[in-house]
Amino acid sequence: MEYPIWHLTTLAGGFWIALIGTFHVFLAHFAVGGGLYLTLSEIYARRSGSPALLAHVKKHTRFFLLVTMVAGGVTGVGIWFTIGLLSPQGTSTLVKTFVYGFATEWVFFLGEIVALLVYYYGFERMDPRDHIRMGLLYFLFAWLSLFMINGIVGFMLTPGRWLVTHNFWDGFFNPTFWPQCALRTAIALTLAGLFGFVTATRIPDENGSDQAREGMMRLTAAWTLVPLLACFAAGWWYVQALPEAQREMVLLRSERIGGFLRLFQYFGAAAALGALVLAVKMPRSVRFPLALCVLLTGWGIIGSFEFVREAARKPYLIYGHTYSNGMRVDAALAAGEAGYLATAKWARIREVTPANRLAAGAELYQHQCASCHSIGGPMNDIKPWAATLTAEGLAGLLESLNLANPAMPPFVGNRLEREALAAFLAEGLLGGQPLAEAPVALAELPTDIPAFDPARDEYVLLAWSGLGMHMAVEAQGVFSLRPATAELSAQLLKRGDPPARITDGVDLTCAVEGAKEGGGQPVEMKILEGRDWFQAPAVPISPRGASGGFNPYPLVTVEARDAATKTVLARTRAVLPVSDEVGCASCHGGSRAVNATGSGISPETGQNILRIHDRLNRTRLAAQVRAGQVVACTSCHADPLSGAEGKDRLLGISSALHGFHASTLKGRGAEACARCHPSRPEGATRFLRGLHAQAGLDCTTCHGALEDHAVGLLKREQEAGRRGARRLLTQITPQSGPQAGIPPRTAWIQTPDCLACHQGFGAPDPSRAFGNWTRTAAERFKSRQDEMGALSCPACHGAQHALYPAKNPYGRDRDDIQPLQYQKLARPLGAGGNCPMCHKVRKTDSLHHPNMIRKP
Amino acid sequence: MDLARLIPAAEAIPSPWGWLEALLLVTFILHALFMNLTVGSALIALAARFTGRQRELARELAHRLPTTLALQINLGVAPLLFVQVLYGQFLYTSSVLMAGWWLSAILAVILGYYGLYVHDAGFESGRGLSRPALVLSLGCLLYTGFLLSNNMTLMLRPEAWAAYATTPGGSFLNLSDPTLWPRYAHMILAAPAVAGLYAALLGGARRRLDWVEHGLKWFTRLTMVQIPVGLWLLLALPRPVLLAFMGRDALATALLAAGTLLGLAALWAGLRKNAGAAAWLLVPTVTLMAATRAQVRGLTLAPHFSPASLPQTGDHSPLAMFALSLLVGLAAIAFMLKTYAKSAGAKAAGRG
Repeated sequence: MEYPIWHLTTLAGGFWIALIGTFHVFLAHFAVGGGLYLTLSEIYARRSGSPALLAHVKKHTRFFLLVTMVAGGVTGVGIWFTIGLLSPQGTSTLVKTFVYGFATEWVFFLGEIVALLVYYYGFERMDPRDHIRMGLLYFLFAWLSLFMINGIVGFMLTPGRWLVTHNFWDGFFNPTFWPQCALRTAIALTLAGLFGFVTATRIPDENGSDQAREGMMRLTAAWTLVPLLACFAAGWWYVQALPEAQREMVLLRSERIGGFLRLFQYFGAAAALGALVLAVKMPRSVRFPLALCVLLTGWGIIGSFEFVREAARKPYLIYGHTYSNGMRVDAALAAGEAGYLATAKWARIREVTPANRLAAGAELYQHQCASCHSIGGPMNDIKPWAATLTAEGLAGLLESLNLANPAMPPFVGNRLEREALAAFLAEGLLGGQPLAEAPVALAELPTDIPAFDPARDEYVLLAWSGLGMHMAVEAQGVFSLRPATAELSAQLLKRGDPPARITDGVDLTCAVEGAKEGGGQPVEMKILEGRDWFQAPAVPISPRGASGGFNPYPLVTVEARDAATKTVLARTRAVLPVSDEVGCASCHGGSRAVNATGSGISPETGQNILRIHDRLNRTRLAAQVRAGQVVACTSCHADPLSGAEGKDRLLGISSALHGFHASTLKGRGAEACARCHPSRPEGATRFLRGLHAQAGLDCTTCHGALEDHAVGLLKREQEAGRRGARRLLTQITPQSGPQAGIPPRTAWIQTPDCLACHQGFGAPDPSRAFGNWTRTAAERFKSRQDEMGALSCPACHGAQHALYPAKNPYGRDRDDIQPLQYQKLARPLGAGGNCPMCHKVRKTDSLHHPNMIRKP
Repeated sequence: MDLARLIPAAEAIPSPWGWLEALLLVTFILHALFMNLTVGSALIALAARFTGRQRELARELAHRLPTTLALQINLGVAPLLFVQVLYGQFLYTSSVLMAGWWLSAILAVILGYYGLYVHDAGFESGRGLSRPALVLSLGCLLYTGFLLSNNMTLMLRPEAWAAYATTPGGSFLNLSDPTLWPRYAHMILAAPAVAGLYAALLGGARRRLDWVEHGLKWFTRLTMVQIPVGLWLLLALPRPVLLAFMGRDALATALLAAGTLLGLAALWAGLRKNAGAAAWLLVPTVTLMAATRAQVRGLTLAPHFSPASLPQTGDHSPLAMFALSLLVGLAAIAFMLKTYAKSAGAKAAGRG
């Protein structure tokens, strides 16, 4: 926040560092190993008394000098120039902390130059023993240079105790100093061998014999292979020496590092293979180009290692001290709500206004993103990533950038700045249009109430949905979270005093009305084990019926027939709610699947989501889909609702989704829920339609704010030792207070306990709604029975979220069919003295549960 | 816009600033001498190749160019390091303003470096790429020097930094600074003068009186040109800085006066054809002029910043490591050069 930013677009994103850096490290490591290679080759040539070999060593020396001292040395200065330009703040810290380390390295560099020049120019005129001494001195100085820079480079990834002590030596001899030193030395020796091939293939025949060349080639092959093995051993040591956070980044989290780690192994294997092949005699016209190719594998080895190291360091330049974008951790914390632009010295725009929104976003982009992301360039292009989110999604992501993606630094700025940057990315760069969620106009659907004659009808048939709303989450051909099937229960009562629960000698069926072609056949309902009612656990259902219009409240007709005579004993209707109004697209972009209602997840949106999943979790789901295989979310993530068990100790689907999005949608109320669930008050579904909604309660009353809800779920996952639960928990601050105040909860198995508010079935106290979970599945509203064990709660009260009297947005009576059918009163069954609907007579005792018969 | 507000905050330094300033000065002097040797020798060699005169001297000088450039680059790293420690907040800022140009210096140096090797390798054949390579090299080195002059002057001018508002892409150059051109000229003209003196010394050692004569011509004529150029530079300095050199600041005035007098003395020795004396006088002249240059920096930045204000961390053990490595390094270098010199003797003896 102190320095100007070099504004770059296409060539931003560390292009210059990658270009100059990988080139330099390649040559610089060669410069170290090559010194020993030269000297030992000279000793070998002199001992074997071969003039051709000695001439080869001299030639190689010239090649070595021209490559390492000129290109290698100057690009080293080039790295200095580049980091100073791209990250002045970080460079300043490095230079001031390690000035004498750099100065010492400079002395060794000077010694290296003098030794190499003396070695080169003295090749023929010096006494062989003196000359070899010069070569060894060169190697010593070159290795000492590596030793010094190794300390400083290692410091950036693992500063260790320096973060506390700010002591030079703590930073220099940091936790990865020695393994990295071993690894770099091994790489340096390997590279020397690879470079050796290039000149050794050109050793001419000596007196018609190829002995000198073949001997040298075999020696070089051995020279390459031995340190290559050491590379892998030192690489393993290096990874083991990493502190937990950095190691987790290398081994578990980042998809990018995974690629580089694999590349390191492939290039190593290719180098080994190449060395073996080159040791075999073949014509020079083949061998020399092959040697050049094998040399490139060395570039791959060192390049992929440096990329792993740099990626492991994300999101820092100096771990824990300076972020990748050059911002110091303490400065980032201090910026606060004043915003970034007002506090960054070199920001050319000081404040976001409606008029400068996109320009301010561009300025913020340069300051906080461009050091790692290019715009349409070869390095880490921002566009494909930004394209997976809308402006709203980006703004949400920016709010918790470092939490959602641990490889990213936090965005520093206030809400207006987040929105400006998001708008710049989504609209300025990608040409997207700002989206506004328009209110959806709903059509009134006819709801005919089935007939019931209290004087003549002998049966009462009750039916209820297992869920207040079944959310069908699926992107066609991309992923599927839950199949679109719903659970319907029904109970048949023979009226009388007492009424009888009929379970034998009857057939119960349910049939979805108005279903699409091929659907709507009657589904047989079976007795639920241990209960006196029937159930169809998986009725195929869709919010789009034969008419093609969106209807999240399709009706089912339920019929009870005499098993012997097939006479209809009773008939009723019930809503079997289902909606695919899932808000993914509002953040994750992509076209909307169904324009008419704004519902569904388009394949494009689905792919956007999978790409983020892949990036953050090292999966290959997007590729799997491209190969034609649809992703089933619950094949990995457990889902108690559908019975999926998940695998690999991964988080359950509810905890994963809520836990992740708690960071990107934080600080909100029920509107956070409506970003994903079909509860938006002006949306196409509006599934909060029961008594509670009319009393002014919203999602958060019972479930808590998103953060609080997520904490409950994650705590249970943490108890179960699921991966990632602890990390997500550290990122979430509940709105209601400390995490300790939120009891663990198992998704779907534990629900808010009705009796926590309605204590003793008395007057409710809504403040107790959140955090008092049912202990077992049987205590849930949908499974619980009355105190006589006769009826289930929803049989008389309606499904959760649609408690009688409900107001269905598609037609006032739609959710109240049974109360209206049996008692002509849209209230819980039996209310208002309607006991006779089952008992045929009025009752005076509250036997189903206390307080059910109110004193007038 | 309050431009002083733009100056980045500076972090603590590990040693007293004076020590770092001394290290900066000493290493810069060495760098400047080698720069003079390289760029100057290249100029003299090029002139020789175009006029056809002093071809042998040209070959002798050209043969050493890759070596002196290697040392020049190495000796440039150290002052670049120390200047960052003391004045990083200014240097990083000016570097970013001219980032594109600044980074191009790396490519220019690599090209220039290889050009010197190509020139040397093809010298004898006299055809092909040899001469164009030298032209390219010299062009690259002069270009790099121009960028350095730009950056070293731009870092002293926060008032010019407002240009960032319109050119944030790193394309700015400090061309509006009245000190830029005289400063660049003063630095570059010194190069053939110093290299000429070196040629004269070489001529003395090789008993080539024509080299001595030729070299001293370069030295004396260009040193005479330096008098008006130096005056131009002095007058181009911001007024408070100029006044400081005119007596308001005793140290600055004394350094400039002593440097000028020593320079005149060296010129006089050159005119008297005493190359040895001129060389002995030249080294302290360069030292004093480098110190004067440091004064210009200090005085120009004085309204905004003094390195004396930097907090210190005060851990001296890294400095001890550096000092020790320097001792060992210099001893090793001495050993290597001695061994090399011994082989030259042995070779000459063997040949004789």
